Amino acid sequence: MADDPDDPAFTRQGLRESLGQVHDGLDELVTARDEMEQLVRVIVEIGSDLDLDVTLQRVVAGAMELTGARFGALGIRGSDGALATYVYRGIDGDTARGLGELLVGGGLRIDDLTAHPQATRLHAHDPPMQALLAIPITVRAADFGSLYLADDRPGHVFSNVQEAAVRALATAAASAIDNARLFERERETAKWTRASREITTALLSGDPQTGPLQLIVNRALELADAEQAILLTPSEPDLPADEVDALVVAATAGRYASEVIGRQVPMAGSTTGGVARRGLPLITGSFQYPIEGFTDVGERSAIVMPLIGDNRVLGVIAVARHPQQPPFGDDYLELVSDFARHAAIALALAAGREHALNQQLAQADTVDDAVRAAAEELRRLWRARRVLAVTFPTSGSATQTGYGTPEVVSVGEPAHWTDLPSETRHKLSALREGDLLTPNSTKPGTAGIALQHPKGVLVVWIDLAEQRPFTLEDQTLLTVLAGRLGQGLQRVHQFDQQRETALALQHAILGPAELPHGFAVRYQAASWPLQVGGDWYDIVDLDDGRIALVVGDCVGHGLAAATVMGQLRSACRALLLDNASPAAALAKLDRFAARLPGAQCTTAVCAVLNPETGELVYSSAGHPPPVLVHADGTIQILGGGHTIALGVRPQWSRPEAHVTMPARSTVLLYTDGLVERRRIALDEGISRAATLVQDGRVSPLDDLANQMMSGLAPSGGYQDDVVLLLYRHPAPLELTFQADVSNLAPARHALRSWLTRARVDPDQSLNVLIAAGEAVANAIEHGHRNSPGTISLDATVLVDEVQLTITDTGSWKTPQPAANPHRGRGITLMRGLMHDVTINPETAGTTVHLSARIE
Amino acid sequence: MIFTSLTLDTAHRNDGKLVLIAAGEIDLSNIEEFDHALSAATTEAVGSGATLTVDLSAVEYLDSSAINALFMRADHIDVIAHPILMPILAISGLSELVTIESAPPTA
Repeated sequence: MADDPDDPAFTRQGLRESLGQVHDGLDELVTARDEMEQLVRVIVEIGSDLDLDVTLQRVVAGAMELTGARFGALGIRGSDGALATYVYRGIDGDTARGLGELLVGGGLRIDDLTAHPQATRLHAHDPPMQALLAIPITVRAADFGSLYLADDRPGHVFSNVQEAAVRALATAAASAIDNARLFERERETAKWTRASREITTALLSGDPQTGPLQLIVNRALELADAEQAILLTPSEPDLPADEVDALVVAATAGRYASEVIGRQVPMAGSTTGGVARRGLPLITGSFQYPIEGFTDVGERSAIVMPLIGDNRVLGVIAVARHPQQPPFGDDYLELVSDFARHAAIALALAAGREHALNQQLAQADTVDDAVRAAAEELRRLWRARRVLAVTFPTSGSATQTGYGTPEVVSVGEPAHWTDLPSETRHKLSALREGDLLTPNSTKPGTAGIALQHPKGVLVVWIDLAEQRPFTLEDQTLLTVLAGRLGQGLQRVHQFDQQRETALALQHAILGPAELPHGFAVRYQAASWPLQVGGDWYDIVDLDDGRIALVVGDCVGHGLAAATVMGQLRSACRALLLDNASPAAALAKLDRFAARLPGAQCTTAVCAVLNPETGELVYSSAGHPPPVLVHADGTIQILGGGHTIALGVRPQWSRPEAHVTMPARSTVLLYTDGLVERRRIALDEGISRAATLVQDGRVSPLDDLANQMMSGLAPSGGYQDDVVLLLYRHPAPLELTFQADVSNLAPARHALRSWLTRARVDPDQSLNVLIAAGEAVANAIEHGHRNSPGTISLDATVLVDEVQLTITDTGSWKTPQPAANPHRGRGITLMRGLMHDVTINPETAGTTVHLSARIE
Repeated sequence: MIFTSLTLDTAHRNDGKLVLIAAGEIDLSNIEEFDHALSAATTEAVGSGATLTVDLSAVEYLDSSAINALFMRADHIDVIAHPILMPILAISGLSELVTIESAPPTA
């Protein structure tokens, strides 16, 4: 600092100035030194605050202190160049404006103002102003205004030294003002940026109290410190910008709200329309087309800004200040256009139901699917190199807070949590701990954000393909999408849980989980995502060894029909266990259905099957007839035992019919959803189904069921609930026994009696028995020498073929005839007796497939 | 537990020939029994300078172990079998070494 009196530089400078101007001795030098100290202190003081108002106040106070003047003022020029605002001290506003009328030029010093022609207004001051010093302030080469000092004490004048000091102060003031203005703009920018974020967040939270448009005008009004703000939207929102004819005032804030709302403005020839078309904001005091309640309330400064998102005009915001307020400066345009851009993005996204992310979320069945789909969508959107979606599950235990092991989904390149660099892991963890929905993009080329996940916190991390900064706009978009994702995940989660609950209930009320052998069932509910509807099936093992089959159809679909169905199914099952007569069971169900709301007109077919003999007793309550297809392809429609639907006439007598299923015949029970099609007669539908059974009678039953479901499905999928139930007589044989010679005879007897039921002739039966016997004997001999295992023997009959599978849990030894004199011809014999023999030795066991053509 | 039922008898026919009469089913569970009886009867027949007749008319089932046992004594036996067994005896090749007579079908 230059305030040290021993500093030779100070001394020389002080001497030159003091001697040149004051011509006096040491006292003067001391005074000059004191004044210098004072000047430096004042200059330091005025630069010590970044608030513009405070800075201006300090400039005036400092100048008064330096000069000992009684009055001080600072006149500041407006955008038109005229002095518009004043900061003053010791005088009133009028006197300050009077000072402002003086022509300052490069500086003005007057010893006696009373004689000055420009100072008439100041003559009114009592006592009259005597001395004046006025110095211009230039900030960044622009005329900022002038600093005025005045005194009314007779004989008081401003000296050269004082003028020099005030000029020095004016220079310092200029840079302090510049700093303060820069700071103010920064602060203003931050305010608008924060507002943009707030709007984004608020739009996403979907607060029903305040619509998105209202929210935007409210914030615009507040931020611009304005009198009125209006938001106009296209009268036809779906049209592209160049096809929109008119704008409508859709939201308003501030004064005249009720007058202006709903007013229309043409796009062509209006100021707002022009802004919408060009997409550029402007500041204006005059509008080319009147908007009642906005343009007709007096001349005022207004900013008009477009809201453009997704290449569509979403709207125009017009904000007007009070006529007495300072007009909007040009620097404001940049601020509000940023704000408008973000508001538009948020608005477009908030409205954009068709957005890909939403579609992805809507299609996801589970939260995990949704997270992956979202990560892929974000990667696509930003053409990112990689997107990490890391779920930090909240620890399940109540006593332990914190997070479990993070689950990483990585798209673009594979990654696991443990493989990630510790720096990345640290960043992800930091985001997890921070505020949700607050993007972090401090490192160029990356951005991260945390959001709510049903299991805890999800952190999304984007690595861009190039090292470009993640702009404010990117951040807004990321915030919007992350907010959506959070909500979407919650929705998927709830839906998932509901569906799981529903599924558990559905399966509880639907048919048996495990079917007896020989049956194939397909069930499809029309009402996605429900997997149960009004249709049902049941297969019940009765006490006498017979099996009851039920297929029914309640009116309607969806949950309502399903609840009725569940009750009918249970009732029917109970009735059948009580009395194994289809007609009797349906007659009793009739009375039950009559009392159960929604159960009237339920149709059902009920059959009781003797699996030994193939005898089938059945009764139908208004249900489409079962179809029986014989081994030779003959189709038999089981139209007997038929009468009206359930719950219509409770005392109705119900018939039943008998049929014996020949060996290798297939019976089909179904609901109308399988066969009923618009513009196609029901008979024709039934006959198409029957033909498919006929064609598929050589296929295994499960394959046939699949063929039928796909073969009969309408092009857009089934629109109604569908039940398909197939049984082929006899049911396949399934035996499981210990690998011991003592089980040879019982297994052979079971197989012999099954072959009889399948009507395989005795000669062929013996061939099958011997071949199967050889396979079983080999399994006992070779597979289980050391530890006895189990052997299973399955036999299935198709129309023209018997198929057997013998599986054991050991490995076969290479046949060694010499080692065992009794064996060795077994495999040769099997091949001689069967049409096809395959032996698959696996380490876990050996499987033998045998098949023989039958007549 | 059901074991495979098999009865074995030996008899001399009117012409003095020794006959081993089996009835029931022959499999791995009783092959030792059948083999033993077959061995004893064969030895006896061979000792008297004749062949053994193995009567399988009442055998409803036999597996390769029984066929093997018969093969072992192929030079010393004749076989009478139920017609239903003829294809197996043919497939196994036994009928190429042993005279096999089809028994009249049982009612």
